[in-house]
Amino acid sequence: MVVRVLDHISRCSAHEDGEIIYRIIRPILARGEKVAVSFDGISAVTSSFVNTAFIDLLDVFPFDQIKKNLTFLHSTRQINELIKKRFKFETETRPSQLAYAY
Amino acid sequence: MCFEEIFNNIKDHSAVSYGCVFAQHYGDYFMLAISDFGVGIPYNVRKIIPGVSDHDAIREALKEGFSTKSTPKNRGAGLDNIIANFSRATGGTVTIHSLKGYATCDASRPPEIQPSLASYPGTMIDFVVKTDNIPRTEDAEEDFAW
Repeated sequence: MVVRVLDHISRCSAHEDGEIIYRIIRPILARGEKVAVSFDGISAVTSSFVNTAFIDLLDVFPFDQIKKNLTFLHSTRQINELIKKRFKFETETRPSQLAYAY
Repeated sequence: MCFEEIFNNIKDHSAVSYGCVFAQHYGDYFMLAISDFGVGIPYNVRKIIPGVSDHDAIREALKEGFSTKSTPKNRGAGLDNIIANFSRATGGTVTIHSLKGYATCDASRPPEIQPSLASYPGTMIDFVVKTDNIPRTEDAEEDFAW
């Protein structure tokens, strides 16, 4: 399933924007299905957005499950680097998550 | 996007609801400053580390993962992201002034963090970049891979 962020929010800036995307993708992942988040039309995102939309998933799912079922389309270098940097930091510092070597 | 990070920080941490922007172009340089007149970074850091000096408080705030948790959603990635994005994209310099401390950051060296002679009433983050280095286009699409 593809979730195009601009179909649901106008920008990827605040926690509130991330919360909307989180509430869409969390039940898809909970069913064990794959989801691709499309940033078509978006060139950059904030850490607040990434934290709430994606990093909060680590409270619910193991990182391995997230990596297996969540991917991103039409992203940019800034978006990709921020998502990977935030997941790397969080998985290396959370006692409940095993560190993941990129 | 750096600037949206700053306004998120003002909203979450400063205890005021507005910020000010100033920009100027002089010679080969462009400078943009965003400021709030809120409580300041050191005030919030001292809730976590009592007694820390203003400039050491800024040092702590620059570490990824350090958050004063002004809201439950804060994870301590905003300042780090601002500096990384701006420096990577432009090679410019970011200076953070807050109460009696400041930090100057660029991509080529560790942050220079010092006490200030004067106290700034809140937080101001200024960006200085050579006009030739300002990106004229947005980032191209790049495939994502874990």
